[in-house]
Amino acid sequence: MAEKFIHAVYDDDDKLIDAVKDLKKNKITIEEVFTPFPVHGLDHLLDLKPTRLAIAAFIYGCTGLTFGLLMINYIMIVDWPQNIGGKPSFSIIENLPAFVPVIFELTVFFAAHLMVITFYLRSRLWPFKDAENPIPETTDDKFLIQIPVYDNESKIKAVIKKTDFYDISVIKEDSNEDIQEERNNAQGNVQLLESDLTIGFVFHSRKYSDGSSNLRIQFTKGRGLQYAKNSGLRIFRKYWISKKNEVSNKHPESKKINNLLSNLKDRISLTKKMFVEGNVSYEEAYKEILIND
Amino acid sequence: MGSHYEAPIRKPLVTGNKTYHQISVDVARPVEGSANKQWWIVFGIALALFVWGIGCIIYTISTGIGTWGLNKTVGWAWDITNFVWWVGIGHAGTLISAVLLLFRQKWRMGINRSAEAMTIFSVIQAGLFPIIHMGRPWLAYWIVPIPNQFGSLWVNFNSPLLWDVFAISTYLTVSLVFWWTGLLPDFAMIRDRAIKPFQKKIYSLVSFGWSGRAKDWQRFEEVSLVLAGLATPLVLSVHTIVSFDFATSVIPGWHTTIFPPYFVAGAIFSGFAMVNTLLIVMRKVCSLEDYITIQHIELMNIVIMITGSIVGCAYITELFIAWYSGVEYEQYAFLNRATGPYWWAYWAMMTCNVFSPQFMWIKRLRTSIVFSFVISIVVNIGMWFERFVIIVTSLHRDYLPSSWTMFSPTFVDIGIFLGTIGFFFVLFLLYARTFPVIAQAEVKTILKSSGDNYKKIRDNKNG
Repeated sequence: MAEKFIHAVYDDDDKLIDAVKDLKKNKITIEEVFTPFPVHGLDHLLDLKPTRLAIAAFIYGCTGLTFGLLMINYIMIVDWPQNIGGKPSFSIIENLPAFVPVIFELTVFFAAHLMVITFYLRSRLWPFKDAENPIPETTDDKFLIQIPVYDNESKIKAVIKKTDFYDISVIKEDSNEDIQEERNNAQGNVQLLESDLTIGFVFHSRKYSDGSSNLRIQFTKGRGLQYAKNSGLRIFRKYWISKKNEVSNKHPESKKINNLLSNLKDRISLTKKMFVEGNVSYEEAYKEILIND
Repeated sequence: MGSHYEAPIRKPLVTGNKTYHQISVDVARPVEGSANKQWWIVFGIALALFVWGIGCIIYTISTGIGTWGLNKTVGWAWDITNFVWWVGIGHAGTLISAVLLLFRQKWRMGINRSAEAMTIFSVIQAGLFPIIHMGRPWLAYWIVPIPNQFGSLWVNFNSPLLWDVFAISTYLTVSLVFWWTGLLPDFAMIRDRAIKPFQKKIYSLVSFGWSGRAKDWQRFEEVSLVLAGLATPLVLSVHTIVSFDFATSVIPGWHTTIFPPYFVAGAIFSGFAMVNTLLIVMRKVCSLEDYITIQHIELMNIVIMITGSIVGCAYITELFIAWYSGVEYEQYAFLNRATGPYWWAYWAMMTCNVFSPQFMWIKRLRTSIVFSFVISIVVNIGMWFERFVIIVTSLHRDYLPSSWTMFSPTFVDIGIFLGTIGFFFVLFLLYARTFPVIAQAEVKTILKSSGDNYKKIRDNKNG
């Protein structure tokens, strides 16, 4: 089991299909794909075996039919046969027409309910079960490919970057932190109305031995272009408040760090303004922020 | 975009330039927003009716069935009329989601969720009547096959009333799991959008932890297909068996072999009318006009027109066979229906069910929202009268003229019926505020083939 995953997010089903094809061509293992609706052809691309639930339903239906037949035979013929108007009440075969409706209903009852129960158990669906989609948007309009990383991180990233992706993030399985916190925070700061350029904080996926990691500033233009630069700050991620883009007061030297961060944030908004006005290019934007550090 | 092709002649099923995200927003809006004044007014009326109905039920149970208008000639009247009426209405949901799924009718996706909800809520109303009519509803469990150590015999599997028990309970439970399984991805969408912790908790609970893995979807689609395959004969069997309640008897006017198809067509007819009634209001109140379009209403009107015509054929066939059989009792039963003391009920039924749907041949009328709404109400009144005509006019003048009598309902009969209407609308109004009323995951699968924006792009490309 890989300890590290890459999550490639797409915002369109056709882009997802193309990406899965590319990944397959490059012999990259796809562990799981999360989609908001059934994407046709995806199960074939992922080489998923056809489900046998229909066969199970047939067997359950046969069980219901047998159960109905045996039950009615026992009740009406064996246990308490009655002479009802001289009708052939002492033989199941001769009395069968009157029993067809109930036997049919029991066949459907067994087939439908046991199949749905099997489906719920096999797909691990029941009340109080926690959802396992890595980002909540996969039930809305995003499509996520989960790829286990062994020693091929750069290769996977290279392949994904060639596809029409929406977001990439690297996830470490062994950390106890909230998975959502782990994700590339670029999307959290999207302010597409302001400009085409988005600047946000992300953590480097590698941790130092003391548990801290480098805070990086990520520059994203449109959908495809992206680069990140070290901010020079080393931060313990568990104290990071992603909503405010600052550290909580439990963090060592939190005051000093938050001061530095607020300086950075000021410069980020300044740079964005400059970009909108055309005074700085996307490639040069980092210089405006990191010039003195 | 080759895989999303749909013939240009087909009208778009999703309008308003929707994106996947916009569909989520539109479906979640009624759930996330708060109720307006009209909702509370309608809910208050429905709740008052419901409470009145409960009062009448308590009066019935504590005093006895004698509080109803039944007499020794007419032993079945409003209760069974209401039972059959509600079961019939409950047929459209499964028909829309199962039969139309098998026939690959994509327009079902805008309406199937609400139609299924309507099915479940109306079957609940139907189930109330036989239980109340038992007189001692606390012994209702005697209808399940339990051994005779209880002091009586086994239940009788030759009896159509017992077939009904199995048919209705299978239908209710299978419809429920069909509905709920389809709801899982949509509940999950609302769960993942929820901001309030309580809301998040509730929708986590009801979505069963749905995550949308590729394998889950593969199984989901297979389960939907097989359930549709099972539900299709099931829905036909249920009303067939309901019609057996009458058809296997020896009462003139009841023991006709045409009953099963005639009842099934009538059930679809009244069910679609009720779907139209509810959705015409709901699409407006919940701003879902882009998903439940005029096209959807028109198609439902066509189904109403066709099934109404089938029902009309059945009425005329019954009359013909009664005459052709040469049995004077049978002949009298039908003559009495049309010209006897209950002639007004018969002609109300004929007008509402046979004549009114024929207006739907005219395109301008079947695409008119107001007209569709009026006809849907008229059809439901007509279908109530159909059951009343079959049940009461066949019973009130039987083989023995000395016991001929009339039936008139008491306030309790009427109160319980109004109570079930109230209960139905209480459930439906609560549903409309808490459930995703459009099967959004399914609608997203047809957006690229049937969305107006995508269709326009394709049309422009093809010149």
